Amino acid sequence: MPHDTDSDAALVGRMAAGDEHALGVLYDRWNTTVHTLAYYLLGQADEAEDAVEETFWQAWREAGRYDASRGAVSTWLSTIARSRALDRQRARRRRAEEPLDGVVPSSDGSGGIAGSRPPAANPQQEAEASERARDISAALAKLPAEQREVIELAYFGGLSQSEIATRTSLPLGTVKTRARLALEKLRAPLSQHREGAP
Amino acid sequence: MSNLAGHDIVREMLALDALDALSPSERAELDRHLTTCDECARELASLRDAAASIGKSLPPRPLPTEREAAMRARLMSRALDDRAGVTPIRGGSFGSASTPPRTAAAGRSGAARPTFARWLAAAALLLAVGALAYGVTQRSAVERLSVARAELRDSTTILSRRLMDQQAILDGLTGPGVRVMDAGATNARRPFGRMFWDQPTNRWTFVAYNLPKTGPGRTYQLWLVTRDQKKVSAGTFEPTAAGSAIVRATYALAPDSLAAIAVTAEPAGGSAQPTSAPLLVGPTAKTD
Repeated sequence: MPHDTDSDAALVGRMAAGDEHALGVLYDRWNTTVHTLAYYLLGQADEAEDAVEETFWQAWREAGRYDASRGAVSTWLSTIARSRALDRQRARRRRAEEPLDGVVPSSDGSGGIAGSRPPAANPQQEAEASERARDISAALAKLPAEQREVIELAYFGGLSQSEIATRTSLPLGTVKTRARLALEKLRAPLSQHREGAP
Repeated sequence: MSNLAGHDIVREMLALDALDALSPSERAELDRHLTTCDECARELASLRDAAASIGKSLPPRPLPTEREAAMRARLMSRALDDRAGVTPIRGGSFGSASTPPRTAAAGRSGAARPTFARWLAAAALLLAVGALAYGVTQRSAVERLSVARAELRDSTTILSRRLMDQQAILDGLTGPGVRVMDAGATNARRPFGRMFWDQPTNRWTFVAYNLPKTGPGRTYQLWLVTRDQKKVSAGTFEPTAAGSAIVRATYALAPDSLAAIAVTAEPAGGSAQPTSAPLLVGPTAKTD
């Protein structure tokens, strides 16, 4: 039986051994973080919830493959969540033939997601989309605008480096450099608090 | 390309990989390099943490409390069902097993008889050890109770949820207006599916057996095919380790408008329309 104080890695070890209670503790610890990410990537409560469940289910099924040397458990969960949410984002785009602009937040701060996507179904959704875009901009506020644009397109839009280069008309080398500089800047404060409960 | 040159080129890819923005071929090249370069592997782990920090810096959006609890119960229940396919390790190897301190007898050979002060000191020490042991015992008891309570809460949640699920399934199978449809396999592994359509309540219950595992990033999707060839998704699902699955859906359909049911493998998250040949397909031969 896991304890609330067990480390994330110990919980994943227990999950790999078939202990469903460890999954419960990990879920209690990280579901808000995972849901937050899914919500900002998808913008729809139902889809975000489905992505959260898929994330923890995948974590359960693949717990034995977790490798601590490749990143913290929270990073592993975020990676799974982002991947599941982007799958849904792309499926939605295919279904609705939604243009790419509709899911990638703009970096100019003039309306973000709401400003670039097709008209929302109702004023409440419109307001929520604007709020999401503002929150994303605020989360990346420490980055210069040109680096922020690359991060937004890659992280929230799920674009590959080639797609980013095409979309921004930048050489691939510049895309790489901006992505690296941005992550190095975001990494700086992390050394103070690395692993553990949120 | 020399190793050093390869190292420099690959190093430039690390940030993009942390953002999952590499093409499959670039990713494969990077993976090959990482098997021999600890420095790049460490750097990638660090950049992945940085990328993950983006999500963590967003304003928290908690799930609604009741949805959070329901999802927890579902996950626990599914994990319990799935456990048959996982080798359990029991015996508490991860536990905080505390070994009682061994109290070594004081050697007396050649020692002078303890003075009164020494007796007092020894008595005080014994008292302190006793108090400490009592405290540890009490704390341990509280921890055990806390763990037992959490376990009981989890078990209750799981059982309640299962009971509700079982009742819903029973309702969908035994209603007077239930139609039954079978869907057979198109290959030799013989997966099998059976659909129960409770027409008065528009509830659909699909059970399947012997389904092979889906590949990474894939999921099964159940379809209702109407007579005008419209394909309506009835949901995505994953089979248990034993290959069985139950899918429930609610969808209103005119009694004579269904032509077939089908199951296809689709990209995770599902598709708007089937993108692969059906693994299971069945006509709506009325068997009720």
